[in-house]
Amino acid sequence: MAAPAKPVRRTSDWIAACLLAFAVAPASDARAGYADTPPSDAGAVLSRMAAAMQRWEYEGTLVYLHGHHLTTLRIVHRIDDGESRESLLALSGPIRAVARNGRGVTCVLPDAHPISVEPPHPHSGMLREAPLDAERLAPSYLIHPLGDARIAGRDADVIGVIPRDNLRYGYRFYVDQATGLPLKTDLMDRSSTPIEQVMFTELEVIGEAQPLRSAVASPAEQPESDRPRPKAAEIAAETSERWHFARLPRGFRVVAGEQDAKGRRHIMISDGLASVSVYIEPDRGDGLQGATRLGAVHAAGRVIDDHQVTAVGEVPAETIASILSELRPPL
Amino acid sequence: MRLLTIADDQATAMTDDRRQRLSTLVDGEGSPTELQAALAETLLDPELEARWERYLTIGRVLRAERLQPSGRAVAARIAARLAEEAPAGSSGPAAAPIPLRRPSRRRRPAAAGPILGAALAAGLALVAVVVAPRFVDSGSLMGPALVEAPATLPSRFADASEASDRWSVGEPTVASKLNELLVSHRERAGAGALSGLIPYATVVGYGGSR
Repeated sequence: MAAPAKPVRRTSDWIAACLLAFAVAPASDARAGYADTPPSDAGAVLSRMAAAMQRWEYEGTLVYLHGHHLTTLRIVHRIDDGESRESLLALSGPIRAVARNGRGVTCVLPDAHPISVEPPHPHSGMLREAPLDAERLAPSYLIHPLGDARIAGRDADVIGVIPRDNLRYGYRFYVDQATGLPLKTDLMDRSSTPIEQVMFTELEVIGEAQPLRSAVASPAEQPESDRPRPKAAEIAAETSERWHFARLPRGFRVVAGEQDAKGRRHIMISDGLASVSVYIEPDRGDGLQGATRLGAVHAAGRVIDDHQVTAVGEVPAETIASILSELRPPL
Repeated sequence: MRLLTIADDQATAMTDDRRQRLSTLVDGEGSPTELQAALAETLLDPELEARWERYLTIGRVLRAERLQPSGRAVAARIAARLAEEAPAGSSGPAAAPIPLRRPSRRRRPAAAGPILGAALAAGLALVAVVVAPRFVDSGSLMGPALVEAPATLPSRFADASEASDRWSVGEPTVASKLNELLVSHRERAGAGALSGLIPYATVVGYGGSR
């Protein structure tokens, strides 16, 4: 049994160095000074950002940068009676586009095989609308304000989410002071080097969504205790009767699971911010063997007990490999 | 607007807003912002998307432009492929002549996810064939003409050989499967702090210009 990847414990000096590195962005668009805002407000800014995505109608132009890959994207977001309708279209390079409404998402990619995915079951526990839980993140991340900046002509608060080990990535969010929308997002590796950057170059805020006509709140608006989500322990117990993990990297736990009509099992693992999906299905010879990546997304696959298992997530390759190595078939 | 009046052979009334959206797409005279808004609404409305495609075809007939059946065959093949769950890479229906009039679309129940997905996918593919040149080539919405070879997808798909192996796995079927799993993962995980489509920037953005 392969041992899980051991976290490299960082000293307080290293954390302080990361704070400095996160604060001094390569583009020098984050101005210094973060002593005025208490750390507790950083969590509030992130919560406001999560809510803003569902509160505002907007459209704009984004730039996606990964290594030498630069793509311009056009995004449109509308909300009608509480239901979001949105689209994202690549304006450069081969055709790529995605559109979503309440009934699912459809994506067109260069291989010309459109992909359609229905939304998760309301009671599956899948994370899509779950807000950040600062208490849950605390063991794995340091959340700290990093000053302010100006993006797309708008003032923004800069918040750093700094990993405490090398099992996960860090983030730098530039949150619009007026609306809470994320104007820029940097995904950082353990050396505080940006891996991916997504930034608005132009943003038009159309207006606030109209209040829901029905009295039922969206899952993100419901108090944590009221949300009909399976408890992690229950999910873990159920999973152990089927596929399960001998152990998981520090901070990660099984948070949801479901099985689709084709019999493919999907297990979601998360540390509260980073997430990894593990898919298990009968082996048909068309699955990934080994490891690969697309941008900051890593994937790894293998055959276990005549089943193709594939892990996908925005975590370092070592974390993906560790998770996959600890997967066990039903007892 | 005259084209819409001539071609509108259905009794169903259209609101002024919907007519304006279609006019923007058909005439191609809107700004990129207006076009994006019209595009987003049309793609998510099967009735609007079907009407838009008919207007485009009728416009070409009126201007005595060459009809390219493969343009509609792209959308039809994709929809059929989704319905039949054909393996990736298999050949779709031959580019037989497609009747100009589509079968009437029934109102689909909200639970018909795969059917709606097929319509949405076909609409997005149509966008890629017809609309994208406007963004890239700065030409009119009605041109440039589609590729001549009826049995192949438009060149904008074929030229993406490098981008189609974005995962660098060397096997198109494996890459397609990974794309499907990534979209499924994205749809269920979000990105922690981010919801909406911004987390899809990697899915859509990777593979751009170098």
